[in-house]
Amino acid sequence: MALAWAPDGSKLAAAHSTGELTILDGGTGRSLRTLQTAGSVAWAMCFDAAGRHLAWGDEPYTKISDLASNAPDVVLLRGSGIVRFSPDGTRLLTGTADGSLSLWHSETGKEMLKLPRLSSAVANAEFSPDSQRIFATDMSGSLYMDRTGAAE
Amino acid sequence: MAVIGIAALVEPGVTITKVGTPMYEDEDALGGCQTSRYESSGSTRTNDPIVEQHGQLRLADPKTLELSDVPSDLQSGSVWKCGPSGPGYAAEFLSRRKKPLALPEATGTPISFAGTPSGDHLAIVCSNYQFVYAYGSSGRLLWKYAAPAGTESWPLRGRRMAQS
Repeated sequence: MALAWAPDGSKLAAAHSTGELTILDGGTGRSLRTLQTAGSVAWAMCFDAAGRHLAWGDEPYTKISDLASNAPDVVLLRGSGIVRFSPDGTRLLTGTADGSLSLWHSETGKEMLKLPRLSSAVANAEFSPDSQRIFATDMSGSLYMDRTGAAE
Repeated sequence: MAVIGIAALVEPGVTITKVGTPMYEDEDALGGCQTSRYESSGSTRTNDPIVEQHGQLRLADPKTLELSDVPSDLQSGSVWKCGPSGPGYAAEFLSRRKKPLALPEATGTPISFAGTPSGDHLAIVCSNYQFVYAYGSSGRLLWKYAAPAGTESWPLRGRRMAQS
């Protein structure tokens, strides 16, 4: 199982080996919603700052679900082992086991920035607090930094 | 050695203050935490808890992982620890005051772990994969959620990411 909290603790996402992804009420543990992967485990999960959107890896795609509506998921045309929302929620950073690092528009699902492939699997990735830079490491220990193109 | 915990590296003002701490200080102590080893062994190393949070992971010993260097944009002192506690294994939550708290009900090796940035909520899954346990910062059990039937042992994300 993989777990991810909404930053305010209002929701917890639990990804099971059955392929189910359960959204639980953070206060009561009540199941709010169940998402279903294509069969894989959603190891990569991340809520946005508001706790409304959940990004999750669903090989071979990554999806963004709006948990406050029944709107269709935003589908990103690449899987992910790491997902991170930018602090302002407008971008999503994904990393994969083959070293691919991509920046996406979280509302449209369009890839915004082609980033060089890292030398090994993306170990972790993060935005700077101002959403203007991204940082990533790969399993070799290399650190990568780039700009997101966000307005300064 | 792998470097993880980028969140801990980014300070407000976009200054890289650290280049990170190796996830594993001793490869020999890794004990099957990488996917390649996990898969080649064909068995689950349930005594190697992986803890993932917004900081850096450190393998203190083969059975204890500590989180340290919590990023400055998180509230101070959200330090989490998973490891042995008394007979068998249980999870300990070190509060902001760094006082260890026994977590009721959860038994078995913690194998998945998440906390909120504020440190007010903690959720763990133990090696029996039967429940998700949620705790408050005082260590009080808030609730537990029964995992769906069929949920079973599975390699951890950190292992999976180490695959290629």
